[in-house]
Amino acid sequence: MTQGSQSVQRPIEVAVIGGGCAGMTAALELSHPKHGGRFTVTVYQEGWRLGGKGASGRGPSGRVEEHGLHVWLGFYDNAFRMMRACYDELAATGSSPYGDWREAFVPQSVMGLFATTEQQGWQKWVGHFPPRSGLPGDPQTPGEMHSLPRYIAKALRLLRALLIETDVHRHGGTHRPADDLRDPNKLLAAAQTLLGRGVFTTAAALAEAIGLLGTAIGMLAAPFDAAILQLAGKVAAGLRLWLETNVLAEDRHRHVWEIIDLVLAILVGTVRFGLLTNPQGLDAIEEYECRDWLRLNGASERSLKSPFINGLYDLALAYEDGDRDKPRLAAGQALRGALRMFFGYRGALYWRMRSGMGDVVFAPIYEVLRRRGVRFRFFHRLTNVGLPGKGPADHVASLTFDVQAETTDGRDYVPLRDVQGRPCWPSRPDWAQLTGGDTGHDLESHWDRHCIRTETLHVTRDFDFVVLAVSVGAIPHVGREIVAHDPRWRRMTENVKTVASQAFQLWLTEDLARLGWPSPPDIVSAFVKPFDTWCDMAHVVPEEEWATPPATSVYFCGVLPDPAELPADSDAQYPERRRLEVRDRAAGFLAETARHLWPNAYDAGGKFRWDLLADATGQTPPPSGPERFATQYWRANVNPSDRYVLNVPGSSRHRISPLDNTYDNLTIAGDWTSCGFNEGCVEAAVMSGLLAAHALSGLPALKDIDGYDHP
Amino acid sequence: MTTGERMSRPAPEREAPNRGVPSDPAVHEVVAHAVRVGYEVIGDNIRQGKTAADRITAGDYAVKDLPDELTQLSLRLLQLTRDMSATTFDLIGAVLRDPNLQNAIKGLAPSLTPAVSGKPAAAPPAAAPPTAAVTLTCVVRGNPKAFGMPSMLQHPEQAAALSIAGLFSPNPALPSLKGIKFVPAPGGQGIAAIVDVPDSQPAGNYSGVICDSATHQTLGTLTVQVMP
Repeated sequence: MTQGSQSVQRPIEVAVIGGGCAGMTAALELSHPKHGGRFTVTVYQEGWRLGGKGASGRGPSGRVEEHGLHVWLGFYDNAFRMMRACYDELAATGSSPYGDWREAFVPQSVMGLFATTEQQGWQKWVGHFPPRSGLPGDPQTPGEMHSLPRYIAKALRLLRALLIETDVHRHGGTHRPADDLRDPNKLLAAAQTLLGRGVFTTAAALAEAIGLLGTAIGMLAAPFDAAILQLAGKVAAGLRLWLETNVLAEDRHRHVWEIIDLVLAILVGTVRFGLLTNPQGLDAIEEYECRDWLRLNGASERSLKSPFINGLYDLALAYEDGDRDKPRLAAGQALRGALRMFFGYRGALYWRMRSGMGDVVFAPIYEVLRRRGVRFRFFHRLTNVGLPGKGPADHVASLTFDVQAETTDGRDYVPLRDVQGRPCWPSRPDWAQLTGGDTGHDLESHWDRHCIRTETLHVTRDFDFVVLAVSVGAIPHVGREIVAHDPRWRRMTENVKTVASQAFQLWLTEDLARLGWPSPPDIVSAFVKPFDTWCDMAHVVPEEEWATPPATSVYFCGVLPDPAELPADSDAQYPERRRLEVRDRAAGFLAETARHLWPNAYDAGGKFRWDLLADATGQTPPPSGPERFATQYWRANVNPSDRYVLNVPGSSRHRISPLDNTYDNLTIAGDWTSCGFNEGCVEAAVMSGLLAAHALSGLPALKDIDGYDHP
Repeated sequence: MTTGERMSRPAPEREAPNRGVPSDPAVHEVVAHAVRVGYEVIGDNIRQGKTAADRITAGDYAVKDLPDELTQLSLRLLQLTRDMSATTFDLIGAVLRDPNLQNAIKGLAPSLTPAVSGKPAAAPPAAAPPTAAVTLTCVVRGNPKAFGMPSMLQHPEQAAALSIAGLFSPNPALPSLKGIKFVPAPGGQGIAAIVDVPDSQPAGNYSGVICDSATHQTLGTLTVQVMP
């Protein structure tokens, strides 16, 4: 055996299994010219397309059909850096599909959140997050690296900005009439309003501040006077009671002090838990549930139920088993994510993709890799990672695949097709290239085990190194031998939880402004379960191929509860049953709940106007009434590899790093690994891919993986 | 296809993030100071707000005064909330970033001792400064004929390390004043500039521009007058 790869002269054969963000990042790194051809990379992918949980396809009328709702946050520096390099490499050959990367990613600075009001209406809070200097993926300025003290300063500046800039609109509920100051009763009401507007909403925050600051003082080393703290506590308690009774029922102002309350709780907790100097950084509180930790540091129950906290959980799909009554989010990573999201972004808070994620991200990556000589083996479903039959179980000896399809001429499968002049992934395999034509099988379904033959790769003969970049949900199925052999892997698969998700997309013949949505196109969260998060995607429509383009498209997503008992692998109809569930739930959402968003989408009789739904299928005449929903797109992400990765309290310590060297020719990659940012997102997947590449090649240097050493 | 000896990965330099930061015992003390100052500033205003609230609840406000008083109180407390971050808490960031300012605060050690036991905090500070500005107090040491002109300092876009090249007279023949330090104002409101003026300093007005040393953003001016 050759210890280390430095002395090997021949190219090192690397099998990358899984074409999601993590696997593609590793492939890009290992095939980079900086290695001088040291690695030969082959990507093995089930089905017909790359992308993993970020895969998208083109359906009828070239419409984009996504796994869910994807946005790239403005702190995804590693991910943006990778995409910028891809676009630059393609541009150098004149083949970049969108030109500059900034043509493919659209900056957004507005985020909306919903909360129920005391009057059972809906209150929408709109946060405007100003553009910041730089662009995601720019080199970090020396001295500007991640540090908690800097976050503290930024948190307080945000607090002030929110006080000044927050805009509140109420939908539903009861509005106060205009005040007539000659009427004593109305005068009192006016006084209440004034108090709520300027004095006691602020004073509430100040009351919270004084109590929390008192806690902070008590935790600090300096000897402060306990009597002062007692006095402060009494003042704060009395005033808080007064405010709760008299003022805070006024919905319009509650968000201000909720934010202040939460920010102060974070500040207090930061000091109280010694996070500024703890060698574990925010991992020191990773065992705490996020709400519990905030509560421990003085956050009020009102704030813990606020739309900001609800939005934090909704955006992270942080509901164990998909159960809305089981919100679970590890405090350390939640705080790390929130700090980076709000205070670490560059350019814009978040960026939407101009087209499908498959088209904007994975098609360019595929083109770059192919030009570099990376080989792709589509229709290869991994079924087993084999350990040695004898001797120490310290490496991967074999990889076994179900081959789902083969091309008719034996050449490589051509996976992309042109839509509007750009290479795109289709929503279905191109059966014309495949032997036997359309077999009717779902080649991405875990429960459809269609296979025309099996293929086993052997170490030293077919591969040297393995990048296992399937999702953690699939590990128990494809890594049975390792899980059975290695207790750490078993604990990882038991403790790193995943959740199923559901999504649907609408194409509407009227834009959202006409339908009564008063705000700019933005992402909105903390709305009614299960479709609590949605986004106006009007900017994608021009990329599609409609004979008569709709006015907009809107994507919804949320968690999907698991059944009490997970289905057997032989239950081939399970995905379709869940899909039908999603369809019915989505149609029901339109029939009733969406009226809070788009009041003009309902006729005078209060019925949803189903003819608003644009029909891409070209049926004549198009279906009418609720049947029209069948022309839209929906999906249930129930496949093990499609399930969203959670970070529940106490689970991080069970994650295994791509740097782990227990199996000396294997590394792992995915947002489920211990990658420095343990959260289900593109950035985590990319970071893990970089770590996997580092594990095999020594590059990139760990210091160049942005945020890996984040506190 | 490959054949040959089995290869293994290079040994990893480490397998986990290095999340630790250098320990600085001064950090807690500095944060403690800023927190205590924040308490003093807002504490008194909380009491004022409570008094006003009780008066309103009891109905002993003159009706004709009510709207104006409430409006004024509203604006003042809202302003104070903003100042809470503008002056006090932002200093946390500034202090943690600027070693000179840290040293200056350490030099204020006596002021870090708590207030008298059993009594409320110190008297309320002066009225709050305008929005997005910080009160700049000038503390002159040395020459008894010299005094500083209070002014306003624009709130920096981010936590800033303040810098000033010196204070200069319009008459280039006169010597400039150097070595100016910035510290949080002891009353908790704004920033104090400490200027050492020698007895020999000629009479006249001396002024200079205060910048954020990182961004070179101009934040305000500082002026010292030396009487004849």
